[in-house]
Order: sequence, then structure tokens, then C-alpha cells
Amino acid sequence: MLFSSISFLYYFLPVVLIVYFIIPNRGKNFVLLIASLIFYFVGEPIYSILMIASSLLGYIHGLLIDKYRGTKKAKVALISSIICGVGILGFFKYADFFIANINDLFKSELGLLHIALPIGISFYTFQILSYTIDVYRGQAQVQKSFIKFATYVSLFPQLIAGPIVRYTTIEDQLSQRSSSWDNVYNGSKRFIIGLAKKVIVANTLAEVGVLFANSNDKTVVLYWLVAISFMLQIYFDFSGYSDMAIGLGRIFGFDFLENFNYPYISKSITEFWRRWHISLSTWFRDYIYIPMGGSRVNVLKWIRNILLVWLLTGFWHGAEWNFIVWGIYFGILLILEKLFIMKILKKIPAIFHHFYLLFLVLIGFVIFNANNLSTALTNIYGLFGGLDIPLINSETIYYLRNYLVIVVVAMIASTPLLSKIVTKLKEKAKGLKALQVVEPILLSLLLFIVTGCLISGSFNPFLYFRF
Amino acid sequence: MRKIISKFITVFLLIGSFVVLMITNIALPDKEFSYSERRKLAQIPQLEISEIANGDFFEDLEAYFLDQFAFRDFFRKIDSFMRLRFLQQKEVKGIYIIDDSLYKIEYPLNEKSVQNIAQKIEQITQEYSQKLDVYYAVIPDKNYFGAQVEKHLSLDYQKMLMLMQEKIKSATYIDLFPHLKKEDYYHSDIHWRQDSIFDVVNKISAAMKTDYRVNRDNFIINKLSPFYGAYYGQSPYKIEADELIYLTNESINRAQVYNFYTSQYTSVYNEEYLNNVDGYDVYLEGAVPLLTIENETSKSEKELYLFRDSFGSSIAPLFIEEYRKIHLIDLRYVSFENVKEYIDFEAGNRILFLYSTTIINNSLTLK
Repeated sequence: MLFSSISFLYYFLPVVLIVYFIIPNRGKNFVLLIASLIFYFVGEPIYSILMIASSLLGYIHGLLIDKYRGTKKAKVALISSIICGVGILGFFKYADFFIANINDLFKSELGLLHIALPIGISFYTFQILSYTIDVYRGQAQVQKSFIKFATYVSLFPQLIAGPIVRYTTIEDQLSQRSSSWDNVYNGSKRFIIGLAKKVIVANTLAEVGVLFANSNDKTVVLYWLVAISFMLQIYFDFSGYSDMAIGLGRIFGFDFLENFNYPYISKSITEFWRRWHISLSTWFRDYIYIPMGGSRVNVLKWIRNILLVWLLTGFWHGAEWNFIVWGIYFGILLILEKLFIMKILKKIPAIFHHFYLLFLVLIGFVIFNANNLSTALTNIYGLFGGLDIPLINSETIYYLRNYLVIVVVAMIASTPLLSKIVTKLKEKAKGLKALQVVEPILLSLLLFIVTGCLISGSFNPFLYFRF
Repeated sequence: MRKIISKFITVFLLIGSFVVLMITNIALPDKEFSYSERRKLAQIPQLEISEIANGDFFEDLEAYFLDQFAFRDFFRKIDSFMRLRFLQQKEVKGIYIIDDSLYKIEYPLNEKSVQNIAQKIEQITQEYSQKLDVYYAVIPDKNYFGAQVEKHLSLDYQKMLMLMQEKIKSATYIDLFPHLKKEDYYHSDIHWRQDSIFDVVNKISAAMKTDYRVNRDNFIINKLSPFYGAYYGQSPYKIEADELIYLTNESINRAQVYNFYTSQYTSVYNEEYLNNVDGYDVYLEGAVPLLTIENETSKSEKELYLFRDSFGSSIAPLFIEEYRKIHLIDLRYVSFENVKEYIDFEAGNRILFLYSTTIINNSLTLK
């Protein structure tokens, strides 16, 4: 089920909210678990079994690690947990990729398995792995209640598109959390803002990509318009989803960590990855990069560590070569930044840092957005006039006219400008009063516009579902 | 205190909206048909294990929720308002308005589709060009005129015609473009008005080397209202409904229409069909694969084979006086091979392929 669907907003969510707040505290986890299973079942009827089986494996491995703590058996249980998690993920997500590449490489004719990717498998597998590793490291207490553990894994606000919530983040809240008025207020506000980011901004920007795909008369400017639109779309799509997840979590009394922090205002790639999909980059940092030695090794090993982590980051996003190249692209940029570029950047005005960052991220997302490497290269050529196409034509002007406002709105909304204005207003008594009146009206209006967009059929599934 | 009240109102409005609209949706009875959108609405899907397992049930359920949502038209208008007023877009889902008339953007040119229909026309033409005179004509869609006024996107019509002329070697092209203008089409619909196409009829007749000519005086004008055209329901703009015009005279009134699908005779017009999903069905029952209009009182022995789309339904009656039989063939619903089982192509005189640019650009589903 999608957050941005009528089924979710006007049937599932109100029923869950009513039942959740009526039921006594001891039954709340059970309500959330049942709701989460229904939520997942609607989107993935068959693969619900896989999700429950993965949860059961994580739960049992956690118990075994705890039982044999300090012995070799604990390590065996941990390795078994990693093999199971990575094995399931590898089979369902990457099997056909490997078969196809083996066929290409060895001219063999192994049959593809054509396995449909289970929704959210990358997210919940990483959550389960973080749990068993943290239990092994002694950083998390073992969870003895399967209901609580399954609630953690399947928790519907973050089940299918993250953020990747570590067990340690909500460990205490699984056992004891409060349902306060403030939580419901802040959570619902955050949810509506995320919903509007997704439905109004990201979905509208997505239309540019569809028009581009259908266009017979592409131009250089159209390539740029599509690249910029996609760069904004993916931010509003994914950060919108994270906002909704965090907001829903808050309503139910959970505090998920932030997943985005205005990444496009960064001045370097290093900073960008501290602000973009934070839960994924910190996961790779804590469970892959640092255990390999991180940066506390010689330069060659450090380069190896960076490249491996970013290869895996790219591969996590999808079983296609363009994702691998996308990951390595950022790995190389991070290495170059640390070795040379940062020194150069320090000597030039800050405004150029932003252009530097935005340009490289844009190229990255052109690679990311392509179906394959060949298309990615064509699209990059298109940006720089490398294809035999005009600079601009009447079709491109028409699209520019139709989508200029949303692109500008998205650009402004991707900066902290609005947030700063609200903070400034809150500092003044009159501003605060005005906000208190305007806020409920504005949020209700957003909900009505979102509903209007959904009813009219402007409907796109979340981009991050495929990961 | 004010802060608490503000928070309370916010939560009440947001969570309350979800709950209230859910209750309203459940309480309101389901509708079968949307008159504003001129289409059937999705109904609650049947619960079947196989449908649940493959996910189809939940997709159908979402479609049902969307279609049956309370105040659906109001919410659709909110979306349109946002696009037109806030995002400053020039159209909503391809629909735009000029002088209280709705237009729909048809774009871009689908060359494969043009080549496909041209190839079909050429194949049929080659089979009969020795015995019959074969012609083809293209009806410009409304956007041909609208796009010129407000610089909207439109098909490359020159290229479309060039592609057709390259493929179709055995039939004669009749150019209708100079004989139509935007006022010849309904305000709320894709189609032309029957009382505005005398010039088109005369052009076709002249091109076919006949003396048959028509004008307004040859017909009685009949009006049906309200006629909500195909664009009316898709449009974010509020416009007046049209009056549907149908023309009659003695020949038309006497003519009988044989429907090969139902094996029954009917009349040329049927006023009751104004309330169909497509009100244009008033003309010759709308979308029918194979029809023959028989004019037994005609002095002429000529027969015309008209390969057509829905535009053909309204122009065919204007040719009744000239022909003893007019066979209307809609390749969207029947293949030519099947048609040959029912229609004798040896008996007639002329073949006319008359298609709108919309069908030419979307012809890949032709049988």
C-alpha cells in the first residue's frame, strides 16, 4: 500500500488511528503489528511470508547470539544471520543480474529466474542485520518478544521505503512510549508536509520525464530540464516519504532519526552524503566502512574501503550497472575531494562550491535515472550538445513554460529558506499569532490539494520502492 | 492557550478530515456512472483468492475508491485550479480552452502509427483499385486550429500527410484542411458539427467527380440538448453544454440502417442515445463495426464503401441522397478480412477512407 493512495489515507490510516488510540497500552504493539502486516499484504500478498520469515530468522539469530554470547557459537550465529539476510536479498534482488552477466561473459544460456523484487526487502533486511550485529556487539539488548521484534521490522511507517531505522533507535520505545497530544500534532503536520512534497511537487516534476520519453524532438535545453527536474523529483519523492514515515512514527510515539537535511545546500560531495539518505550512509559507515578500518589505514587501503563501500551503496539501489557506476562515481569523487579538490575549493568563493556540488550531483542522478549505462551516456552527451540536436525548439519552450513554476518552487523548497522564515516568525509575538492561525488552514489546504491530485489520477509510485 | 487551541484545530482538521471523509465514503451509495466525466465508474471488485494473491484485487479496490470518492468532482477541480492558477500551466491533462470551446492536445506525431494506417489503406486499395475509385481524406483534429491561436503543441500535420502520401500510391488524396475551421467543431467535444460540414461534403463529392452538392436548404435542422461532449468531463473549465444538431430530409428519413452486429434494421438517428456515455452515438448508433445504410428510393445505383471513425457517423447521412447503399466499416472493431465475409466489394463504385488525425496518430489498435 502506498501512503499516497486513497486506500491508505482515507481507509487504512483512520481505522488504524482509531483502534490504536482506543486500545490499552499493552495491546498497541499488537495493533501496529497487525496493521503493518495488512499494509504489506496489500502491496505484496505473497512476499508477506518472506518478510515474516526474515523477521523470524532475525529474531532467532538474536536469541542465539545472546544465548552463546562470548563463545564462538555467537559468532557462528552472527555469520549465519548475515548469510541468511544477504542470501535472501541476493537471491530476490540480484539473481537475474548475476545470471545475465554470467551469460554475457561466458556466452552461456542460463535461464533467467524472473523474480519480482519484494517491496522494501532492501530496507527491512538492513534493519534486521543492524539488529543482529548490534546484539552481537553488545550495543543492543536482545529482544525476547517476537511481537515486539516483528513490530520493529514490519512497522508500516518505515517498512517499504525507509528510513532504515536501527533497532537501537527505537529499542526503548518498543517497550514503553507515550502517546501525547504534541506527538500527534507534530506527527500529523510532518506527515501532511511529506505527502504534499511527494504528491504535489515530486509527481508534477515526474511528468517532465514522461514528456521527455515521448518526445521526438529533443533539445539540449530539454535534456537539462529533465535532469534538473529529476534531481528535484527524487529529493522531494524520497524526503517526502521520509517525512511521512517520521511523522507517522511520531503519531504512534516513535522517534525516527532524520533522513535528509537539505542536501542541495551542501558545498561538497562529502557534505552532501552527510545530508542525503542519512540512514543508509550511516549504515554503511557503521557496518562496513569502519569495520574495514575506515580512514585509519594507509591511503591505498582507505581508497579500497571507500570504493568498496560506494560500490555496495550503488548496488544496494538496484541490480543494474548504472547503479554500480553511480556508486563508484561518488566514491571516486569523495576520494578526489579528500586528496585534492577540497584544497582547491577552499581557495575559491563559496558560491562556486554550490555550483560544483549541484553540477556533480546532477550528473550523478542522470546516471542513476537511466535504464542502463548506454542511456546514461547518451543523456550526458545530450546535456553538453554531444548529440546532433538543436539547442531549443518550440516543444521545449512549451514544456519550460508549463513546468517552470514547479521547478522554481521546488528549488526554493529544497533550501531551508521557508524553515528559516517560520523560525523568524515564531520569534515575534505577532508572527507567532499569525502562524497559529495560518498553519491549520494551510495544512488543511495542502491535504485537500493532495486529495485533488490523487483523485485526478496524477499518481506515481515512490521511486524508492524498487530498492 | 492560543498555541494549544491552534494545535487542537490542526489535529482536528487533519485527522478529522481522514475520519470524516472515510465515514462519508462508506455512507454514500456507489454511483454507476459519472455524468460530468461521461464514463462508467469502477465498482467494488469481487473478492477472489487468485485476485488477492496476484495483487489485482487491491489495484481494483484503489480504482474503486478513487472513482467513488465523495465530492469527486470538487476535488478534481482543486487539482485543475492548482495547475492552472498556481503552477501557471497552459492546459490540464492536455485540455485547454479558447472562447468557451475546449481543445485537446494531440502530440507528438506517432510515425509508426501513421505508417501503419497508411499501409492498411494501401493494401485494401491495391486489392480494389482496378475495379473501384479509391479516395482517402484526413480530418484535422480540433487542436490543429486551437494550437495556431495559442501556440499549444500540435502534430506535425505536414509530415503526417507526407508519410501517408509516400505509402498510399493507389488512392487519390482529398484535402479537407482548407474546408474546415475551429467553429465547425462542437465546443465540448472532439467532433465536427453536422451542420458545418456541407463544404466538406461538396469537396469530397467534387473530388469523386460527382455533381452531388448540398447546402443548408436541403435539410431540416434538429436540435438535442444538453449535449456533453467527450472533453466536457475531462475539462477543468466550466462551459455551457452544446446542442447536438442532426439533419434530416426525406431521403434520410426513409433510409434504413442494417447493423451486421445485431442483425437488425434501425434508423439513421436515435435521439435516446444522447444519454449514452458518448452522446455522439445519436448518429448511426455510434461505435459499430459494420453498417449499411440502404436508400431504396434512390434514383442512383451507386454504392459507397466508407472506411471511417466516429466522424464518419455524422457525415455519412449527408451522402444518403447520392447513393443507394453506403457501407460503413470501422476497422477499430473489425478486421478487413472479416468485413469481406459480409460485404460484396465487387458491387460498388467508390471507396473512401475518411479518418481523423487522432485515429491516424493512434492507429496501432486497428484490426
